[in-house]
Amino acid sequence: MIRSAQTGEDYDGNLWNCATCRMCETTCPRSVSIVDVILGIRTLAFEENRVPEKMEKVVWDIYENGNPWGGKRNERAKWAEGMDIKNARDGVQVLLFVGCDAAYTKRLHKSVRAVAEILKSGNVDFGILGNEENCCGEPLLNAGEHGYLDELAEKNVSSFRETGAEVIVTVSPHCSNMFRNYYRKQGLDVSVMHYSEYLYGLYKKGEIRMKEASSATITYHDPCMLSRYGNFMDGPREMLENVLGLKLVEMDHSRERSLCCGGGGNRMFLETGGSGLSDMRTDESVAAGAKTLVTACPYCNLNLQDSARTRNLELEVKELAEVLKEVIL
Amino acid sequence: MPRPSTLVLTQVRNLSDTVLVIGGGIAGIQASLDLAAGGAKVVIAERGPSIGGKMSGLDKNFPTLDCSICIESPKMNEVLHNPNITVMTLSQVVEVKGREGEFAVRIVENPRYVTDECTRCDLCVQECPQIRKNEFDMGIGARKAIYTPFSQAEPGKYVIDINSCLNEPPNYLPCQRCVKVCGPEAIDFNMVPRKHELKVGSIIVASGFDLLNPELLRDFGYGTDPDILTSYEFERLLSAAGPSEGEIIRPSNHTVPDSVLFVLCAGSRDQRLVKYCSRTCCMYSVKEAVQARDHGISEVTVLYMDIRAYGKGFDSFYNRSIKDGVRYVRGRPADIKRSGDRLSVRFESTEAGELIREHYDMVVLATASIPSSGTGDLARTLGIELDADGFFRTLTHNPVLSTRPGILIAGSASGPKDIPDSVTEGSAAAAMALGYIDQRVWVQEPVPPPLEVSGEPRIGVFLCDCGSNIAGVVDVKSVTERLKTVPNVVYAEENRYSCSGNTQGDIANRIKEKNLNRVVVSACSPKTHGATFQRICSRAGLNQYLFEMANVRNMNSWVHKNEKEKATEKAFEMVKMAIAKARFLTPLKDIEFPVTRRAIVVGGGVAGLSAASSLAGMGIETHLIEKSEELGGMMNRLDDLAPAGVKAREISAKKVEEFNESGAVAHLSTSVSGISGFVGNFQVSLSDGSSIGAGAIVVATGADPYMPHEFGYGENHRVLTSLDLEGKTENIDADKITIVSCVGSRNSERGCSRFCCSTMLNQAIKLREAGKKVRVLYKDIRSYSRYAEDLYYKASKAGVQFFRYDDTRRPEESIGFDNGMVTVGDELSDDVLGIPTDLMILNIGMTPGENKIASELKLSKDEENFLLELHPKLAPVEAAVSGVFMAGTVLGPKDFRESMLQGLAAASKAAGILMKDRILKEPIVASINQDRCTKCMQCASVCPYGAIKGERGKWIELNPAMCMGCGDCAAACFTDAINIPGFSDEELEAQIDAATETDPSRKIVVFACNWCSYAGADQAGISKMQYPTGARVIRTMCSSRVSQKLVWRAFERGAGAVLVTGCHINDCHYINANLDTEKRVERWRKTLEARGIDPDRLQLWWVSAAEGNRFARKITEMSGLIDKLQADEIEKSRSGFARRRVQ
Repeated sequence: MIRSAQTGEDYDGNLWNCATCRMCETTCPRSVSIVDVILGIRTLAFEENRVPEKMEKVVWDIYENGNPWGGKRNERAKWAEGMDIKNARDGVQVLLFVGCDAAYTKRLHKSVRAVAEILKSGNVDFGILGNEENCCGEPLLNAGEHGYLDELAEKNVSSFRETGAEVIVTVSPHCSNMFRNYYRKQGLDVSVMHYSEYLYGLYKKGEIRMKEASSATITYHDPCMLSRYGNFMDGPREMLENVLGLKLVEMDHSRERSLCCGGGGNRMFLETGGSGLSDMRTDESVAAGAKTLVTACPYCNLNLQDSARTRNLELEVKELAEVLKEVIL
Repeated sequence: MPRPSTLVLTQVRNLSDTVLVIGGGIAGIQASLDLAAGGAKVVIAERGPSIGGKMSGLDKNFPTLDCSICIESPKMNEVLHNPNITVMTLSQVVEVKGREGEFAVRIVENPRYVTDECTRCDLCVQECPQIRKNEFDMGIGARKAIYTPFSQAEPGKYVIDINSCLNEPPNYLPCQRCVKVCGPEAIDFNMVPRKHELKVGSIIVASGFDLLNPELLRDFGYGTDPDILTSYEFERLLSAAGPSEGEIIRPSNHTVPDSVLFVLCAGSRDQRLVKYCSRTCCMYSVKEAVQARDHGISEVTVLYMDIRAYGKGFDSFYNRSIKDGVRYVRGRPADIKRSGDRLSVRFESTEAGELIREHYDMVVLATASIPSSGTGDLARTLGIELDADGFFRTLTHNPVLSTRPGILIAGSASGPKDIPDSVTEGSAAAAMALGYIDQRVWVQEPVPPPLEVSGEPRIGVFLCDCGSNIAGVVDVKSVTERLKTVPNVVYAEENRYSCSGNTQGDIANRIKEKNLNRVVVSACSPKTHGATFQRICSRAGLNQYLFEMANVRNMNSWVHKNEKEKATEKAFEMVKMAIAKARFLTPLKDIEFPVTRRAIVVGGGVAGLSAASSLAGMGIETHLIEKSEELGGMMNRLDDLAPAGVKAREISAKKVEEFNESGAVAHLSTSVSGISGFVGNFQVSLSDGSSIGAGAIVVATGADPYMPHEFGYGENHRVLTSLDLEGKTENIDADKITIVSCVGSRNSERGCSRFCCSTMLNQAIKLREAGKKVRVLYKDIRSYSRYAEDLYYKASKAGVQFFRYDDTRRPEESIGFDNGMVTVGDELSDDVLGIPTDLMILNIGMTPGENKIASELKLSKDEENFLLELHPKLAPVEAAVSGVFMAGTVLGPKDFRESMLQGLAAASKAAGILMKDRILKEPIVASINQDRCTKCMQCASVCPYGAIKGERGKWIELNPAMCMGCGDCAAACFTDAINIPGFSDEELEAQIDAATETDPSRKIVVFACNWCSYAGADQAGISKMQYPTGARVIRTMCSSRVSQKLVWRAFERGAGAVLVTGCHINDCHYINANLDTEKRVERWRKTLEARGIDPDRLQLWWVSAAEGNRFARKITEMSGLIDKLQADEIEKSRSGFARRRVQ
């Protein structure tokens, strides 16, 4: 692909298949930043107007509605109805950044509600931006768009500043990764955490405690953004294992060698018929003997759920927050 | 005494005459032998129970396919018996104080719990109940708590692994099984660690390397499946003396695999594990792949990143492996896992651009070489620095110097290296160490006045029981009694252990008491114990050449366990054969020549300068002859030296300064016009009309840069060479630059030029830094040398673009350059690409050029016309002509570091001759009986060393200084005019006659050469391989000694069959004398056929020292043949060869 781009030949072939999962980089003996190369070529493709149609739609949706899903701006905070969550503009310690996926996908509402409930139970001073929250911009980066992305990022940073929050906690690890790595040049200087990391901190400090749960065999699927990008793999396991009764088993590929769900790199929006990654992953869970597959990323959650349901597997896919919510005291 | 600047000592002190060598691998062994030859005392501190290092565990070496242990064990044996060398095993250096010239060193030597009385009879091992993994077999084989790591181990005495022993002090659970069974009472649990305090002048660190723990390579699945092996484990499977006796078998189910996958760069060149190139893995994997094919494995695939066949003859070996059916795929495995009975491997072929899933029966990982364990601790003890990769840091201008004066580094301790490079560094370090000592000693054992030996032979026979090893099978008592009646035997006695300390004294006493003038010992192999008994004779005043041995243990009792009666009869005959030979033995004296203590170095480049400075620094008068008007050679034309990162002019200035300080004499603008003489006494005439006598000559005349004709070079101003670019990378008037690698290298005439990839990468980076667009067209990137891989990585990071082109064709066939556009078939995209180019750089290698000295000295050349070394592995700077050494690019392309090291190594070798005023030589040397000789010159035509000169029909002269004693000439002589003492016609005939005295048709007369096949027959015994009792082995130095007369004699005596054995082709210890054997046996077989005799009754069979099974198999097969022989067939051969005696 690089060679084709160097020589100006047709390079589109596999360009949009990459899920930016970084599995290739962990096995590369030469430590080549392959994902950066892919994104670089996508930038080139965007400039040359060689982007798939669906990718264009994502860009426009973000431009117009602040999310890639085509959801309406005034429905962004729908999930929080009846929960009495503080508006972050009133000043909070922790800003909960919900992200587009959890906000606009109905079956993910329970996971973001679970996150909010746990935060409440831990007496955390937190709030949300409600309908004014914007996309983090990762889909733009993945589409190879940079102009509006920079504008969006600046807008987001200033709205984060208004809240005075010291910590931003995200529901999607894609958002936290974006803030950490891309927003530095926009001057974002507060601490950014994925909710699993934040909850692990609370758990370690003893601010949330857990009770005995129903006995079940579970496995944990490492989202790429947390494992290969974030190097956060022990925390979720430690919390899950400490929940009495839950038996944690490992799949064939786990931790930094974990398989991707196939949703990263904007593949979520392409619906290319799937590379079968999530099917392989759910099969591995079943093979490992798990009845429940726990993960901590909206993309993973959706993809794995789809695979389990469409293929009638005896496997329940759950968000880490949901599991924890049930056992938290 | 003048010294090179790096060795200048600030004040005059008493320099110690001893050098400490840490590590007994091949680098340490070579350093020690060179030091001892140069008059230094040496202490070797080896951490393990045996010297030999990694090399002793290898099956064969690349690219020569030499049997590794066969060529190493004579050197190991030499180390053990050299009176200047002390070997301490299980030893650790714990403290180093003081400074160069007077280090105070403390060494702790841990006990072996087995004394020198050990006879290696192996009874203790059979009794020991504790089974452990044998580290020497990489854990594939087993050993006991008392053991010997391998059968050729030196020192040979066994060792107790006290941590595994039930008797671990303080003796909670006394076992004592080994103690009870040990006849010579060699086991002593009261041994304690010994502390040695030494004063040494310098220290050579040759502590070697380790292999990366393969379990760190998670993707490759090592440890999850028994059929995933490392290369070193595979090597042990290949070894005939290894756990599977040389059969490649799958550990999972013990079947022979049909398909094997070799994976290169398992951990090396990997930013996550080992960033550098491990340098040897490509070639040993190519070699292992070839061996796998030879073992009949049908599918052999190698997965590689680049094939780094950079050394001499490597590329042609690699190409041959492709012809042998080895398949090479450029790619890396994504995962390796079990799938049913086989291993499923997924990889991408970057050449074909497709994802492949294939199944293999076995996967072999070429794991990375890493610093040997404890390197960090040793560095702290020695006070020297490590480099970024954890190896010992060495200095650029002299790569054997560590960061502390007086401490030298050799071999893989300073980075992975192959055997010849390690040997070179061992010698180079010895050269430097010899500069730190000012007293030279050659330890001599006291010699008593010689006994009178003239008159009738009075033979004493000593028969060893070797505990039950011999006596358990052979009725030694009855043999002893029967021998007493044999003519000339005046004394015969049975010993429990003839070699044990007490018996040694007894034998010496008997010699005097009984007035013996010949001694025969019936025991084990002369190869392991011959020297011991010869020393007993010397101590008693009996000339050591009046001794003969019968190898009744290895070639009889161990291989005929279940045939006691036949074994006893055979033992009697074997001793009679030895007695028969002993009757004809004559006292011999080592040959001595005077030596002109002066050295001549030809060539003033870095190799020649290094050699000359070093020799002069040792106090030897040294003359350097340089044809141009300045010193420095090729260095004067270069700018940057990559990957070392220094300027060429700094190195040449430093080397010239060292040279000037050393006191060597330079003869500039002078060439050599003629050379005569031989080792110790050369006469070199110069172009200025003068003439210099010298004892040794170092040839370092260099090579020429390749002058290309490709791509219109010389006419097209847009085409330059890498040499033209030297020093000009910053102001090149071009923007788009394309570099073409391998111009003039890696084609049908020439192999890899070794240094050029590093040069190319360095120039590419410099051009890139100057803002140019840089493209590299390459075949393989061979950045093998120290820090070169970093350069490759840096070039990639800097944005140099790499395009791989067809590696089977010359660059001008696959690349075009026209109208500012380079066209090339790109492997990755499988497309023809056009690359806009303002300037094309041809990356050139080296070409041998004219070499007048070589023809004057009759030096052999290799297939590429570079000079040929005596042995590519173990004698990389020695010429086949004694007293002549070679260094630098005259031997083949190499970089400046390698050239300097060879210069030092050549100096070390030359010093071995020049340090003494006389040169000694074993007396096994041919002599010509001028009365019988017809001056037909047949002998001169076969002599591998050119030791015989003369004119047909007129005169003939044999130079004993040049003769190595193979006996090829004696076999070629039609008039029996040539005599080789110890292996004369009458001695060998007497052995044949004794062997065929009774029941001759049931006998196979076997001739075995001293170096390989006799050792192979020994190995059959060590491995207890049972074969029929008819074989009667007669040892010669080389198979080429076997003459028609001897073979006919055996048939005339009625022998059932004759077997001639020797080293494999190319393994011959006398250059290639065994080719003559091959021709002769072929001819004799035709004669047999012509006379109506089954030609299979005479056979030729190559056996290496490790191939005991091959020897046993052949004897079994030929025994079947003689079983079927009819009386008339025997009669036919008997009468057919009855000699018409000409008196």
